[in-house]
Formats: sequence, C-alpha cells, structure tokens
Amino acid sequence: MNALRTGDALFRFGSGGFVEYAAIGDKTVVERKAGFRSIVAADGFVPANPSERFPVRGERMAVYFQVEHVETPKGVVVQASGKASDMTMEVRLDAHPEPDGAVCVAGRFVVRGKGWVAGMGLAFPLVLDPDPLRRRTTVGGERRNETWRLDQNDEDDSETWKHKVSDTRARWPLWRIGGLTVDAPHHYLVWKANATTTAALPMDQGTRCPGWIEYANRTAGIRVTWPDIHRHAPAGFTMDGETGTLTIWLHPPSIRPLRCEGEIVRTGAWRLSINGDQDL
Amino acid sequence: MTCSGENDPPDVRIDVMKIEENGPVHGIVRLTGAYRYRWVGSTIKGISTPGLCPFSLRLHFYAGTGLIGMEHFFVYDGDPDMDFVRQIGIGFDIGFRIDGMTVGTDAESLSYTCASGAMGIHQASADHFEIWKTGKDSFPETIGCGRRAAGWVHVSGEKGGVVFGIRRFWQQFHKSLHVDADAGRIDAFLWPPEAPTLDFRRYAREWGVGEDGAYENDPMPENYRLAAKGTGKSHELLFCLHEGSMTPEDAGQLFAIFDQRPLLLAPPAYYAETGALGHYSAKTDTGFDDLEAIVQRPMDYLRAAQKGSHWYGFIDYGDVQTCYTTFHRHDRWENDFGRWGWGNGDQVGRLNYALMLQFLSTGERALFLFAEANMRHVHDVDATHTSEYPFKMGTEFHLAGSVHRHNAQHYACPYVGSRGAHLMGARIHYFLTGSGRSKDILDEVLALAERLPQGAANDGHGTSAISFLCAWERTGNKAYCEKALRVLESYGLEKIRGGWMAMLTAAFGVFDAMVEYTDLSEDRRFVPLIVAFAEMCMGPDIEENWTYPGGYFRIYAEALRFCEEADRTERLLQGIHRARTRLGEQMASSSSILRETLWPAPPGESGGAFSNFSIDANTLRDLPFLMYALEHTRKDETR
Repeated sequence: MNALRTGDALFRFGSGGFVEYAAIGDKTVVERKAGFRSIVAADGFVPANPSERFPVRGERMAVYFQVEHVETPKGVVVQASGKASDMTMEVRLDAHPEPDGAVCVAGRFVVRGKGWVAGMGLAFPLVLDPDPLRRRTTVGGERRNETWRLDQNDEDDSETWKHKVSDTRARWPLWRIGGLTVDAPHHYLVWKANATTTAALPMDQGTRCPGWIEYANRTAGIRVTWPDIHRHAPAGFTMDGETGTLTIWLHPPSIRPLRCEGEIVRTGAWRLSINGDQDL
Repeated sequence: MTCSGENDPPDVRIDVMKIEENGPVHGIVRLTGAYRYRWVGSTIKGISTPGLCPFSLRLHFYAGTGLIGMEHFFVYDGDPDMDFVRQIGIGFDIGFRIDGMTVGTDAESLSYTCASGAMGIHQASADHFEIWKTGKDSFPETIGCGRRAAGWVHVSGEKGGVVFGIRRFWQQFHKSLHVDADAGRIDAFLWPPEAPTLDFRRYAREWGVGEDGAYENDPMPENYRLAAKGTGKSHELLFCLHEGSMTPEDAGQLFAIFDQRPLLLAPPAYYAETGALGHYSAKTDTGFDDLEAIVQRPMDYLRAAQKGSHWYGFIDYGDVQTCYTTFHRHDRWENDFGRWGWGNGDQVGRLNYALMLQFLSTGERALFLFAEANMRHVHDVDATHTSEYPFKMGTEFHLAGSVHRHNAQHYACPYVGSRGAHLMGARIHYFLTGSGRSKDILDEVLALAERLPQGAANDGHGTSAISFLCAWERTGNKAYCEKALRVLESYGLEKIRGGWMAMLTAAFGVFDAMVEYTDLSEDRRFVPLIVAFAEMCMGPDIEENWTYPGGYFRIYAEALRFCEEADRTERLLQGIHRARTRLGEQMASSSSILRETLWPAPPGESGGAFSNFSIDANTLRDLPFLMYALEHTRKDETR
C-alpha cells in the first residue's frame, strides 16, 4: 500500500488500480468497496457489423488489469496493464502532492491493437452521505455552475419549496447521475439524468468550460479539476450519486466508439482536492 | 431504427403519390406512406399497426432549372424505451464518379479531392462540425473541423455536379452530408449514423415529478412512459443538379437563399389594414412607444436566450423555456422540473401568434426565422401524430394533431390536447410561404377538430373554432363557419361569470374565435358577451389576481372596439388606463431584466437583476389589438 500525505489530507493507492482511500482529518471521502476497479479504460467494443463506419451497437469486452505501485522521491507512480480481446492497454499515473494540499496526477493511457474503444477513464469510489439531500454534485460551466442533490426536496426546505406554487402534489425528479461532456474543443455539455435508462437532460452548454466537478457530503468533499480540458476533447466527468462513483473520462462512453488501428494514446493531468469544511 | 438493441432497417411503403401542383413554373409531387419495420412498436400492448412510422415527402420541381426542393416529415411511432432512431436520410446515385467535394462552413468553403472512398461533414452540436474521409476500405478519419457548417455540399465529376443540403443545418444537429466517390452516391442525413442513437425516452422513472395531473407517491400509470409515441419532425432539403456550370461560390449563394427562405412581403401596414388577421396595429408610428417596447423587448430577450442557452438540436430547436430563476436560485432556466421547462404547446397560441404578428408588423427577418422554427417545432415535436396513442385523454386514443403541455421534455407531460395545437402561427406562415408542412399542420388540426371539436381534454374549443374559421377562409365553404359557431356555442359562453373564466377564453383561443366569427359574419350575437366579458375583467377582485393585467388586454381591446354606449366605453377606458398603469409598473420593476448588458444572466446576480423573469405571452400577443382599439376609439386615451 502506498500513500501520499498533503497537509491534512491522506491518499492511499491499492490493488484496485488507483486511489482507494482518501480522507481529511477523520473524514473519509474515498473508500474502495470490494470489486471496485479504478481504471475503467479499454472497455473494448465489438461492433455488430464490422464494416459499419460509425458503429453504435456492439458487445463489450472484459478487460483484466495488473497493477503495480512504485514510490518515487516526488510521489507515487501507478502502472497498470490490461488486455481485452485483440487489444492491450497500458496505463501510467504519476501522482504527487502540491503545496496547496491537492494531489496532481498525470495520466497516460495507451491502447494497442485493432478494434474499438467504447470508453476510457479513471474512477473513484466515494463515500456517500446516508442523507440523499447531502449528496451534492456541482459542475462548472461557462457562465454558471450546475448543482444537484439526490433528493426530491432538492433546492430548499420542502416547506418553502416554491415549485409547488402550481401543483402541491409534485416532487422534484431524482437526478442520480450527471456530469460534464466536452465533446469537441469548442463545445461542452453539462447534463443530468434520472437513471441510466432515461434520457439525459441538458443543463448547460457552451464553448469553453473551466473543467471541474465536485462532490460533497455534509462535511467533506472532493473536487477534480482538469485544466484546459477542451484541449483533450472528447473528455469529461460523471458522478453517480447512488453508487458513489466519480469518473474522469479520457474517452466518454457517450461519444461514439474510438477506432484503434495500431496505437491510441490519451493523456491528461488532473488536480484532486479534498476538503473537510463543507457547509451544507 | 434499433429495437431492443437489434438493427431494424425499414422498407419504404408508398401509399399515395399525388401531383399536388402542376403549374407552368412550379410542380409538386407528394408521396405519403410509412417506413415499415419488423419490430418497432411491437413491445406496446394493444397497438394494431406496430412497425409503421408514417412519412410524407413533397418534391418541388421548378421549370428550366435543376432544382429539386424537398419537404420531409416523419412520425416516430415506436416504444421510446425500446426503439431508437439509428439514422434517417435521403440519398441518390447520381450516375457519375465524384472527383471532388466542397463544403460550406461558417467562414468559407473548403474543397477536397476524392481519389476514392467516402467523405462527409457531420454537425455534432451547435458549436462543432467535423469533416471526415475514408479510404476504400478504411475507417473514417477527421480531416477538418469548425463551428457551424453552412449545411451544403457541392460535388463535381466528369458529367456535372450537384449541390445538396439541409435547411437550418447546424441549428438542428445532428446532421450530416455524405459523398461516396466510387459509387457516385450522395446522402443527406436528417439523423446521421455518426451520431448516437436518437433517444425519446422519458426523463424520469418516478411519477409525480411535476407533470400535469400527477400525484405524489402514485406509481406511474401504465404506458405513460411511452408519452413520446407519435412525435414527429419535418425537414427541408435542396438538391440542385447542373452540368458543370456552377462554382462553389454559386452553390453557397444558392443555398444561403434557400436557408433563409425567400419571402414576398408587403409593407407591414398592408397586412394590418386588410383586417384579415383581426384589428391590430402594425408597428408603424402608432404613438404607443411604451406598449411597442413591451411587445418587442421580450422577443429580443428570447432570441438572445436561444443563442446564449443553446436552445438548438434536432429535438429542441424552435422551443423556448418559460421561467428563469423564478422559483429557485440557480441562475438558470428551470427546465429540470416537470411543471416548468420547455413552453411546448402552451406557448403556441400565445407566443407563436405574437411572434408571427410582430414579424408582419416589423418585417424583421430574424424574427420570422425564430417564429417559424417555434411554430414548426411545436406542431412537429411537441405534438403527437399517431392514430394510436398509448394512453387515453378523456376517452380517446386517436389524438393526432394534439400537443403536449410544458415539461422538462417536449413530450413527457401526460396532457396531450388540442388547446396546445392553436394554429394562428401556422396559418400566418402558410399564407406567407405556401409551405407544404404548414398546410399539413392546418389539415391535421382541422381533422382533429372534426373528430374532437371540444378536444380530448375538453379544452380545445378555441383551437377547433379557429381551425374551422381558417378552413372557411381556405376553401370558401360556409359549412365550416357553421361548425365554428357550433363549437363556440358548445363552450357555454353565456354561463361565464367572473373575470378568471373570461380570461381563460382569451388565453386559449375561444375569445379570438368569437371575435373573428363576429368580424367575418353578419351575426352579432357575441357582441354583448364580448363587452360583458370586459366588464367582468375589471374591479378589485380581478385586478389583484396574478393574471392581471397580462391576460386581459385582448378582451378590453375588442370590447372597446365593439362597445357603442358612451358610459360603458368610458368605464372601459378607465379600466384600460388602470391596466396600462399596472403593466408599466411591472415593466419598470423589470427594467434591469430588459437591459441587454445583463443578457444572459451572470452568475451570482439572481437575487437582484433576475429575480422574477418570466414572459407573459398573452401580453405580447394582445397589445397590438389594444393599440388598434385605442387608436380608433373616439374617446382616445391620452397616449
């Protein structure tokens, strides 16, 4: 087990792939559950019709990883390799502490072989507040930030919930999942969805966003920032407020599968900040 | 389509092919039929015709040219949870090998040579297009990108060339245009294979999350998840075949004209003076600068909001949202609660009517494009066009032409009624343009009025009466006038007591129909009611109501026009003065909202500048009629 300490924050790395535990003081923000896999990269994809130019339908291939951690003078290096059908994948993540308490991570994902990549990302198993009203996700947009909680009395106390002005019987929809998709260098979309089986609702769109997502419990939270995210398009984040999975996407699964004929390299650099004085 | 994850390609079944127009200059052939699938809709219980998604295609030919215009409309008649649109397109084998392709973009045209393989341009969002190319057996690679494609491609070869494109291309993304050099084939994709599948699923699995008539903790009624069944979408395409005489510059100019839609317009005063659209005042020096600004500025705001909030896309383009930071504090449009969100059909009889009327009064081209997109969106996407809706409204399943109310999505509210199919916008558009789609909208809503004169939800009297009056106008058949009268009589107008009920007649078209019937016939039976309604709409009770004064101006206006008694006219003028004063106060407190420097809202200022912004489309629609009445009354109020 390898660890990084930054100020009051502690990050631990484990066999699941990447950060398996993070806490600030006595407040735990990240904690791995059994079977959780951090590196969700190289979810291979076999199109139903191999000659289709733009496949949307296929069969997902299982990916197996071996993970190794190396402590360096600067921080921790996580190296992982995996295989899926005719494709192989190598991942290297360099993590080091920053003076302001954040952890800076540089990632490099390399896929080799022939096939399609449906999604590529790095996931964190967050600790969820038992009270859904306190599970708050915020994504930064061009002009404003979008915030949602996993509760049907979102927004205000239910007593003053003005949405009931015209119909006192209605509740707020449950927004279980949401995130940011930067699908092109000059377009982003902030979205949220009731479930994986419903259509997503666009909440904000624009040409350039600051590239961060934050999840907060009652007293602690984590923010992931991807500076210049537009230069890495397609890219994005998702937060699942029911499973507690926050994912950084180097190739979001909502974008059409990526064709690999030889080698694909995706890189990114992220800042992970946790804090323990949320005021909800 | 893909159905339960399996590809389900259709056959095309043509039921009717008809020469709709056979003139010396312009001919129209109309094809109607259905895309016939194996599985689409098969998961819905009780449907007698699964697998059929109706379409219509008009082909326009112009003498002495190689121009072919197309109007395509299709109906999604599937199970939204199971059936997803994979691609919709129209293609041709053009009969010669293609050597090169030029693409129109927002800044310039880009030319590429095609040695072999295929090329295409894909508009993936309102802010991004990509140009791709493949070798003979390779997969696409991106060779160019930009923000907003112009929507056309010009291909050339040894025997000539073709320009082809889709109107309002980037606004209605996803769209793509494909060229296969070896096969000599071109395709215009209305929903392209480059895009993810088109998703009509409902926004929530829970019930009672803001929909009309939904109760907290009730389970979702059977089949309400299928609310999008029957939604539709129309497109216009242009193909121009030539023998090699056109340059890419010519192609760009030709397509720009098509994209903007040529209009033959009379001066604004002409339309107002004919009285064909009622007695309203065109914006030609009316002297009511304050009222003109109250009509115009919110329309400017909405157009800015469309641009700033990116109200674009295959499903969204044309619609507007209704509340900005009114009920919560997130500095945004409140589109994530079922009660609010997209205006959908509840806007069309008010906002679209107002937009079209204001275009006629100003001749402002951008306003026309905004109004046209709004009208088409409501009658395409917000409506259902299926004869077998998956749940009843009242006792009916055959709701074709009916429209959904405001909601987080365009089709998720369980209310589907003819109230939201009010057709004044489509009527103005039809007479301005002769558009085939507008004609079809008028026909579909007329058929709905014939089937269900009161509407399935018993609130469609206004739409039906206007529809019959419009049919009388289009055909000259007086029987339609009688039908309009019968619908109005069935509303129980004489039983109306109180300003609230009178206001509802104005909000949803019954009052408009009474006035139009009175103006067009020699029958004066409604005149006393019109004046009586206005008197009900004055006094302390109604003037403290939240709907005051926005919902009442048309009633005041028409009462003033018809009233012949001096003392009643005087009381009306006093009431109008009070309403104008209140409206002025409301707008004064909204003055910060109307400052363009604050459009769209900056973060963190919702508590001040944007505390309560919502647009009362009744006011926008009705003030031109009030201006006319004030202008023409002998006891003119001081302007």
